[in-house]
Amino acid sequence: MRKTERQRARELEILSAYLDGALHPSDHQDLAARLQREPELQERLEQLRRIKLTVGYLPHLRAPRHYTLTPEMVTLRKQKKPPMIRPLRLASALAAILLVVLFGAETLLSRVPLTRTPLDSAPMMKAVEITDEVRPKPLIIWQQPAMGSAEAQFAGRGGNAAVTMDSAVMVESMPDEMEIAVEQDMPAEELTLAAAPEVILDAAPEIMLEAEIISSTGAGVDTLGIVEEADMHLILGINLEQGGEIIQRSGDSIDLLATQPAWRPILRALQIALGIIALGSGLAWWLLSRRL
Amino acid sequence: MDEGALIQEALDGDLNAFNTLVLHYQDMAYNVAYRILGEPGAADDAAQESFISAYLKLHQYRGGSFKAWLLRIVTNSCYDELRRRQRQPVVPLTPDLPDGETLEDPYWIKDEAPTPEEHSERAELQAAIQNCINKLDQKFRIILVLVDVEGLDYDTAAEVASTKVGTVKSRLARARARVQDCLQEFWELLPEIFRHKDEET
Repeated sequence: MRKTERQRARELEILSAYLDGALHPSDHQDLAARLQREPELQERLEQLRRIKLTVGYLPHLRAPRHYTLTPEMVTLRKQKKPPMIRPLRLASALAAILLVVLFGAETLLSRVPLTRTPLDSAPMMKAVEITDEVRPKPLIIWQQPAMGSAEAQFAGRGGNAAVTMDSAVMVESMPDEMEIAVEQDMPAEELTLAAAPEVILDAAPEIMLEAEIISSTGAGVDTLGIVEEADMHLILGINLEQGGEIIQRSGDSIDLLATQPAWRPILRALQIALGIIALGSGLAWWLLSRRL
Repeated sequence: MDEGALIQEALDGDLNAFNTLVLHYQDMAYNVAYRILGEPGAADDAAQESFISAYLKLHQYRGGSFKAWLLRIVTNSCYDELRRRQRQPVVPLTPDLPDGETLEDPYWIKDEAPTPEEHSERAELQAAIQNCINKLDQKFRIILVLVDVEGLDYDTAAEVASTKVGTVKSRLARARARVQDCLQEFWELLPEIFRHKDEET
């Protein structure tokens, strides 16, 4: 059906061009031969001819007045300030294009795996070496409170912390690795602020040594643990009720935000600026063009 | 009229030389604008605007057919006017038609005739044809006006409309077919020679 319509449209085009003498000589001969054989085609040509005649029937109108120019008309037009429409339209279009390019660049760059520079890991490694020499063994000791007690002791190399929590919740929410670590014994002389029953987190001593100061946290802490994340980050408290919100982390741990490449904030700022330009100038252009 | 010399003089700042060109082409400019826009007032404005633009842009004229170059400016002015109308549609004054006639009925078309003193049937037919042209899409309308009303060849029409000759052929054929369909409603207005055999029975 579609093919037939296309063929009919093509045929109409050929007939129309034939009528105006604008057909290629070879096509002209072919059509002339077809017209001899096909009365329907001839009829369609006749219809087109009548339409051409009908439209040509319209009189050629004369101008109702002279359009000759006066110096004032030309001067006035020259003095008229060029409208801001074109620059605004250009600015809007350019900003939009740049915005798209930046988004594309960001997408491409984000696909490249982030490689940690030596500077990123240096403080951590150095700290590990030093502290290993000084105190190689577990540093963080968590004194589990009695069931129902509201407080638990938490000690680090640089200080202590008292954390309010529910021990039952903590134990349940501990990862398996932690539970294993908790079951390990620790020499009594190395414990700080420890009192029976003791729970020693010894899952990764090197990392634990990085824990500096654990400040006290308020009520609402659901769990407390040490989690190693992305090889480098110590998260000492996780509030599960708040969707895994980090409560505390090691002072030496690398800030997650700091792992972002330096160009990303600049790119983001550029994107925002370009977005504002594109939207602002586009809106101004639209308003001006409506007014005109 | 030495067109080339007049253009050169106009380029040198001689407004009178340009006005000689204006007088020569003003009927054509108005006629094309009227057939595209369908309104005398709008056509008048578009024609005047075209000549002012042509004078100010004369330095952009790179030779070739001055008529085609000027017609391109006229059609662009008409495009601008049509776009402006789309943004700010003009509501026509609808006549009081107690018997339920529509705007497309001959009664209304008759009132639209630019020259009411002319013979009524002739005016009605012209108005009907113009009405059918007005119903076409812009791109078809302009090609139909340039070729069938103004009598331009395909190459010049393509130059004026800034398109290809093949596109002109295609648009013209479709425009003619649509006008033919449209004019079926007004077949009784068509003179004998324009009528189709089947339409009379």
